[in-house]
Amino acid sequence: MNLVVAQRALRATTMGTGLAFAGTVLGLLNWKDLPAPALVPAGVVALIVDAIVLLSLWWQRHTTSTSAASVLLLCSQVPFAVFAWIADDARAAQGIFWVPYEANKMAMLAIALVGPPRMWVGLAAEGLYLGSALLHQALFTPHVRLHMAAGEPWATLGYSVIGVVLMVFRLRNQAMHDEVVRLRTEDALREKAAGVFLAVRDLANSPLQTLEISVHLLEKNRDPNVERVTKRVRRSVERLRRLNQILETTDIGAVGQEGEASLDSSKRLSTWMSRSSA
Amino acid sequence: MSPTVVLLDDDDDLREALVELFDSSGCECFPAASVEELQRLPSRSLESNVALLDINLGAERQSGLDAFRWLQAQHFGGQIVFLTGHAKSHPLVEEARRLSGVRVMEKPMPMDELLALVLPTKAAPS
Repeated sequence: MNLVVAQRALRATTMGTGLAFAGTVLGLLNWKDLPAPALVPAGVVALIVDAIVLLSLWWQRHTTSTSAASVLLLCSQVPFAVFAWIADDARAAQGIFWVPYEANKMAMLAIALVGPPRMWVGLAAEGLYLGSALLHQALFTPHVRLHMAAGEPWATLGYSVIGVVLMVFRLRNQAMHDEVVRLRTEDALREKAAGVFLAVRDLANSPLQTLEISVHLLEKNRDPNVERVTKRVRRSVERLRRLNQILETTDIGAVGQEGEASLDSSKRLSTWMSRSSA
Repeated sequence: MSPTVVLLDDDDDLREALVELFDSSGCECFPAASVEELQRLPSRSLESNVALLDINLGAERQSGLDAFRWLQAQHFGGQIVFLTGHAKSHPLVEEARRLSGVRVMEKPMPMDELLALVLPTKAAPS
């Protein structure tokens, strides 16, 4: 299960970083005429960081851990947030009517939909975009705010709330799905073990009965030497009988569920064993 | 007159041990390893007091239930007991349990219970 969670984290981080990369490229193309000398370098740095993150993910694709994928996802988001900040600054400097924090809003929804590996990663990423927007809003002069679309920073806050709700919903669904898979796996293993125990019992019961009868017949012999051996065998038979009773408690109808009318336990047992070793 | 037992079990060792046990207890035993062998037993075996039938007689072979049906068709008048080493949940064992007028016992059975099946009026020898 840990491997599955780590692979899921790897995919989420790959997607999150890929989207940040694509967003940066689109931003560079869209805002290339903005009067912001820092925009292109910031975009290039963001692209380089994203590329490094993607390469690291590819490098660790078989060995990655959830924690490593989480840290890498955050690493890919920081330069994009900086890039978005510079772009907003440049658009504010134009002095025309504009809608601020668009990249932040998009990123908050994208993070929620991508499904971060852990709740704290998602909250940290959402917090990064919301925090940078709120800070920027606080730092903007009243004159700049006059040219903004109405409703800020509430609109950005709204996006953030929607993002968090989506993320929580998604992570809870994922957790429920994981629990169902875990229970099903446990059931399948239990059923298989019960089937194996049943086949072992099927094979052991007749020899055990034979031993019981043979010991009973031997016990009629009063020779002290034979008696000693007989007692030893009797004790072993008792132990086998106890084992048999323990195995009996695992009878959950495994044979009936398999729908096999044939009672060839040796065949069943070897089939199960070969399935296990495959 | 000594009690008589029809014994059907495909396990050679168990069949041999049961025959020895019943012989030593004064029972006459008619052993068979398969339904076909059972059908070839002397006709007086059908007058036995008890028929001890294993349910599983091997894959793709007639089962103890087939033996039961054959005995019924022959108007066997004795008690019929299925002796099985298989799980209660198995379809054939469940089918046997649903039959009326039979008992289904599980292997391995304690000696006193086993002997009581064929010697109901006699105390089991120690």
